[in-house]
Amino acid sequence: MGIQLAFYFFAAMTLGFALVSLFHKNVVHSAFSLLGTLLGMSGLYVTLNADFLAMTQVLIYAGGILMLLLFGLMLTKPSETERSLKRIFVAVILAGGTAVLSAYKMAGTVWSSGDGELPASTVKEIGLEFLRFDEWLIAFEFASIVLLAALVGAVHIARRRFPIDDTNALLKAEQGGAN
Amino acid sequence: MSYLDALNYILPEVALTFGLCVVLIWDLVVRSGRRWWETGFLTLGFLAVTAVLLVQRFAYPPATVFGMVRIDLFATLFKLFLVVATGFVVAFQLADRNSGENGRSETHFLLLCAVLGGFFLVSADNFILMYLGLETLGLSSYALAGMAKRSVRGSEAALKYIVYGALASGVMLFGLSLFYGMSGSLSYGGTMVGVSQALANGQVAQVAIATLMVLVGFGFKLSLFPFQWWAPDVYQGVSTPVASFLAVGSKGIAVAAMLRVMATTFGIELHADAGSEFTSSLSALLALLAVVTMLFGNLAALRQTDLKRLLAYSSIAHAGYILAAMATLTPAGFHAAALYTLLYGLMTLGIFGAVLYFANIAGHERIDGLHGLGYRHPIAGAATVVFLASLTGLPPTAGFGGKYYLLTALWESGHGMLALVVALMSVVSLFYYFRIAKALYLKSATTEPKKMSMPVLAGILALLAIANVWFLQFGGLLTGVQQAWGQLEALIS
Repeated sequence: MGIQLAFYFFAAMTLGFALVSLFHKNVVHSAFSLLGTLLGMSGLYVTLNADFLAMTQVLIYAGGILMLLLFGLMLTKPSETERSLKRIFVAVILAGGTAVLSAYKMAGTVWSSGDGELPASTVKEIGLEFLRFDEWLIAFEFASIVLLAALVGAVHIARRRFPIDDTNALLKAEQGGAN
Repeated sequence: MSYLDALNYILPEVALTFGLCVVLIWDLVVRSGRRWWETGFLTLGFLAVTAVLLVQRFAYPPATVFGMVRIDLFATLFKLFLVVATGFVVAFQLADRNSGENGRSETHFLLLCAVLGGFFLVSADNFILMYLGLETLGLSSYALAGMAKRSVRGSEAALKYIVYGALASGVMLFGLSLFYGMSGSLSYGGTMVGVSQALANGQVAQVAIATLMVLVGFGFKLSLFPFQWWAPDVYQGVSTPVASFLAVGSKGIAVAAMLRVMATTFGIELHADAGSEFTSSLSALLALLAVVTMLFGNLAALRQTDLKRLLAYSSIAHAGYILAAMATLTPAGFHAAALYTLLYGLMTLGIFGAVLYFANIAGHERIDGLHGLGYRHPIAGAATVVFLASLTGLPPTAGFGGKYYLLTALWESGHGMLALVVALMSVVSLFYYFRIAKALYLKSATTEPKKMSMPVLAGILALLAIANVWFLQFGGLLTGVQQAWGQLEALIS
């Protein structure tokens, strides 16, 4: 019963914040309310016994994708014609088509519920799998090199060497170099 | 296999990882960014150690270690290629006088990271590891392209590169997830079985969509036709050594990884006696892409006045030749693609070194900067002519040998039209390559060029020129490639 209540709570949270992010006038607020949607979805996963998925949902979507989205919003200029009728029309067709198609496919699929009891927690098993050397250890370790390379590259590119109001000098230096 | 045995197999990777940590710490703690050539020599040292370890690995029997790293002749051969190419890139960078000193030691660290990524890319037997390798190579390359951030053009190029790259790798990841959905396995072997079952069940469309999406990722790295837009801007925007790494190291290792993925995931289809509908349409698609890439690269190169832009288009054209050989989907074609990639690396490193040499004197990289320099710098001038002949495919150079074998493979597998296009395009390429030679020898300079002597760089160029002539007898290399391919295919049956 408690689980059912929690499920409906998280479902309402997911849908409610999704509606806010759709209809709010301020696009940054829309992006933030997406956070509620994503957290609600991770709550749904918890009620469905998928604890690992719930955590990755928070880490990747709420932590990573949403940050990316916010950066994108902050670094680009909002356009005046963003909410024109034509664009809304195209969006409705695309989104509606996708929704109808997925609903049709979902209704047509025979869902199997697997056999046996669901494990109570999968986090430990997944973690142990990562640390077994003939399974995923090397990929796990190698990911740290990926991150290291990305970090060093990002720090180097972001480090400022010119005074902030000196972009003109930068342009001039470039033109001078070309001549 | 015990843990230590497995570790012994990937000792080159371990040495490289150790090396990149040392380079990073040395730069950060010991020297704080000054005297960047120290990390340069350190990097060369670690690359040499890795090369020695790789040569030892030639004697090892092929094995899959750590569940997903395939160590065989094919991987080791291309790893050695990558290490040697990167060695030349670091040497070029030490001789580069046009780029500022900022970020040079970071460049060494990022080059080592890219090499490690390339190692796992070509050695992977599992899509997760392959993707991680591709991303390491990609992220390091984006950062390397961003090194030239003082110049507006360099920053624009880096941004273009990262946006295209992120898009391509995202599409590829989607394709890989479709393969996973079909087969329930991330290893190449498991995917091979899953793909063959899906095709047997008539799910051709699903396999085709997944294949196309994976092809986007490789197409970006190889700068094949619809994914080549970044190449000219990036090559022009970055420093010459970094451009040579992108053209040779990054592209060469991506070709090798693509060969492995094709040969294993479609292994069952490729070995079926009667070619299936799927393989024939895959072959047709690759052939079409190859033709368009060759046409685009060669025709666009004709009008370029910037040397590095010209070389970018020329490297697109060469990717087209390599893809044409792959499109045959026969072992001979795959051998030709692998062999041509190795020889292409040799000539392209040479020509980028020559561009660096003359740009050091002229201070810029336009063709008119070369005017009259051929006679003043006899060694570099002569070497440049050898590289140009090799790129065009004229005897007596490695380029001729590679193209000869490639054309034979195309002809014998019944792709006569493709062979014709390759031959025609080689004639077209003669025009733009020999504009460089003309500028060196037949034009006279309007102003007195700077007097400068670079004996070490001239020596490297001479060495590469000799190698370009030496490898006209590509027989030994070809035997190596064929043996390596045999080991790779042994996994399938």
